[in-house]
Amino acid sequence: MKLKDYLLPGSLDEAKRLLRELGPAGLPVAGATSHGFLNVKEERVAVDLSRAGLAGITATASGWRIGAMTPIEDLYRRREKGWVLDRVADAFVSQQIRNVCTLGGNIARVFPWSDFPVVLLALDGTMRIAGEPDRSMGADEFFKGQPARHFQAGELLEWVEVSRLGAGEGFAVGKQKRTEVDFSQATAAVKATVAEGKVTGLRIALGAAVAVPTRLPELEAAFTGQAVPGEATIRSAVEGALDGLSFRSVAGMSRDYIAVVARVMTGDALVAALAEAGGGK
Amino acid sequence: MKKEVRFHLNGEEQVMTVEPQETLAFALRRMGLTGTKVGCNEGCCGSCTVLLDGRAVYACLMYACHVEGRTVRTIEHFGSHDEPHPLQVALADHGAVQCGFCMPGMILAAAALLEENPKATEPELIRHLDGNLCRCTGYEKIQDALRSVMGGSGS
Repeated sequence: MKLKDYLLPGSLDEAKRLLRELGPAGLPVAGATSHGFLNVKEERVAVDLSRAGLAGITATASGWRIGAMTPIEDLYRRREKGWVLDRVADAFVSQQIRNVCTLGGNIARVFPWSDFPVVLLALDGTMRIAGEPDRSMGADEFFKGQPARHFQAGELLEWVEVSRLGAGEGFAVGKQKRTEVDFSQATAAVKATVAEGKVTGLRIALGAAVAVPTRLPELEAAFTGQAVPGEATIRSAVEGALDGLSFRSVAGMSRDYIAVVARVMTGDALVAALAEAGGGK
Repeated sequence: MKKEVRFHLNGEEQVMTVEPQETLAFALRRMGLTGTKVGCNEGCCGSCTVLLDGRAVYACLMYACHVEGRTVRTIEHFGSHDEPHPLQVALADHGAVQCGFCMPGMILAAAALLEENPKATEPELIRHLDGNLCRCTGYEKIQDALRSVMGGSGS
């Protein structure tokens, strides 16, 4: 990609103004680690957001607000009761990428292998767009298609909110890759809520194995309101529930193979999340 | 449109003139700092690792303009022939260097951890080096060497 200029705004307002003035020529830059994958022929003007004051994690009454420019490594280093994003960050490429890649960069443009769209779908995260007007959006809406469609020129992702995992709640993520630094072949994330031996809430999301991250509503419905299932029941249900998906070939692996991996990752995450929620195995 | 980038490089204020899309790896090499190697040039091998404000990053994926006002350290900052860095001494003593192409990146990735946590454990060390490949596959001796410098008590 050819850049004709590189700008470093010192505030969110300045970044928004520059991008608004630049229009389609403006290219918001977060960690830039995925720029090699962008197939852009036109010259662009980079607007580097690293000085725009969008990094940092703050606790809220119900969880955390994470600035869009927060590096993935900072998600890993945080250790607090109910915080689960360290589990995702731990399996995120390499140290050098974790230090540079940002949460916002990972979700504002979704590649099939992106981890955090899958995770935020499961956690029902909230995304805040700084724009005209500022507005918040749930994960289901934000990740319905490419998130870029939600942004007008001059609008930016400002922060993401996730809830604290409480009593009776469990979360798990499963990710299959060939090597430590490889792209995911299948990423599954599950948030489960259990009360008095019953599954009272379930959000299951799958990515990488399919073109866009997606929830698995049939699988969620199969267990919600029911007694916490055993592992054999879970594995059996996962087999059928993923039948309707269109799997993609990843890294030379066949669609059939990826379908198997996706089922294993989904089953693993479901079993682990229910166990953490207090349901046992 | 060429850009002037002012930054702190290996202990000195520097100004480099770059094209907007030039990566830090190629800009550094153009400045004569050829210890920053370009291997895969796509953020996999780690041979271009430098420290940006103390954290290990891939210079091949970073726009040079991004380091405006920030602190960059390259392998040239870490020891010399006459006064090698303790990590370099350990790697030599353990016979951990084969072709040597990965060494600048390995040393800088380890140095970032050593500076932040001199008592890093072996799992922490291994995790910290997950972005550095040795095509000679000399990982065991490299880990032995780096472990000998870390003060952690192992796993």
